[in-house]
Amino acid sequence: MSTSARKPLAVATGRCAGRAIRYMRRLRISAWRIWWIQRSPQQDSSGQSNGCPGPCGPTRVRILHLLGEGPLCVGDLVSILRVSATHGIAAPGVPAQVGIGRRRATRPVELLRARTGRFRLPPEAPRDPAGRRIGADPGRRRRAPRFAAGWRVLSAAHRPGELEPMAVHLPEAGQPAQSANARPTFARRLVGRGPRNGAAAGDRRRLRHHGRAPCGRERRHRAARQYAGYRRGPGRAHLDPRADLGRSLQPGGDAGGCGARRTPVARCSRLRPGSGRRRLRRGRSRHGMFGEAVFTASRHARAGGAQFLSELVATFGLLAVIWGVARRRSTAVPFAWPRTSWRPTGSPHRPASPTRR
Amino acid sequence: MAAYWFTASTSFANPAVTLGRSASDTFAGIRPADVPGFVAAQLLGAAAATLLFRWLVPALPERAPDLVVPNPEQTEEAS
Repeated sequence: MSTSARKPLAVATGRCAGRAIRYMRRLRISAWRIWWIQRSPQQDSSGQSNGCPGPCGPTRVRILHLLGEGPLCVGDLVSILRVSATHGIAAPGVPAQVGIGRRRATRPVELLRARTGRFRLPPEAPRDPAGRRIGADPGRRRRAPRFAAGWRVLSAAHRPGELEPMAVHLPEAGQPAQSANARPTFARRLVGRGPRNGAAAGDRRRLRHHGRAPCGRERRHRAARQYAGYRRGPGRAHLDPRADLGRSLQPGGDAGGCGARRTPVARCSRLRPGSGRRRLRRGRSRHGMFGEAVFTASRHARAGGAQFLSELVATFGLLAVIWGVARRRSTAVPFAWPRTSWRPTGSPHRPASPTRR
Repeated sequence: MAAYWFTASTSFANPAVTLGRSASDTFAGIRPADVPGFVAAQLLGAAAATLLFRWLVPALPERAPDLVVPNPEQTEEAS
């Protein structure tokens, strides 16, 4: 990809500099997921498809770019999955902004650093002396990614070589799923998707506001949500955190879905130390069983000499009984103590109570 | 101790209970500003009861020299 072709991307990212921060949450990519990324149908040694539903082509290359650069974030992955495959790979040593609009990755990517990292990159596409890729139409002008809606339509278009959308491949009951190559499912498998940072929920909200028919990518999101509930079966016992996350993405109903805030994962996430401190600071921490506040300063005034004297007499009476019984008949302490203290409010059984009252 | 702490009475007679009830806004609670006075009163009452009963009913080791007659044989062996 030439530098001039990336210019519209730079212009688009510069307009929304403040909105990409919330997508920059760091993700943990486990070893098997890296292996799954690297193992794609194109990487099979025999030249045939190995049946592994890994990401193909430019998507895998872009992921390897960012993995060689550092830990991924949500914005990176969303940008990778949304950007058009026609943009290709950045030139060696030239930083490039990957992504468009609000969901861009703000971190520049250098192919040189990615190549020297621990991830092996595929060979570059052949280029002519002018720097253009061989095979590409030199007269073709790429469309500038100015609006996210336009790019949503572009990314929803079915591309040659890609599997059919997942709605076509929903498995029968009890059969293994073979159609996991749809990109929303890939993102969900790669990073998981929390109830709050799910793009599907945002798409659903946007759809509701605009009253527009869902495009192909949104249909895939919806199919992926149905698939998550379908795969887990009709049971609604959310014993698996993955099932919680999957079902939290669905609307409540026959598929066993539930609201995102009602999942045990979401409830447990409220017990994180940071959020707990925040909630304590805001005074919003609630007891899990009764819904009462855990810590609330009492407003019951107990000031004055009479109150202090009554407390002194009460403590004196309690200790007097304990000491007396312990000195005189220590075996009777377990019986004398409740007799002294286990009393109803209105019936003073010991000399100290009528004195203080 | 649990029998005392979980009574319906609003007397505390325990600094720990006083501190705990200052953190809940119930009928048995106590305003945090009043906690130091209550704790001081409790300590005073506990000290008074302890001193009184140490005087009224002394412990056996303190009274032993007055009550126990020395055994001459053991005294000689010890010496």
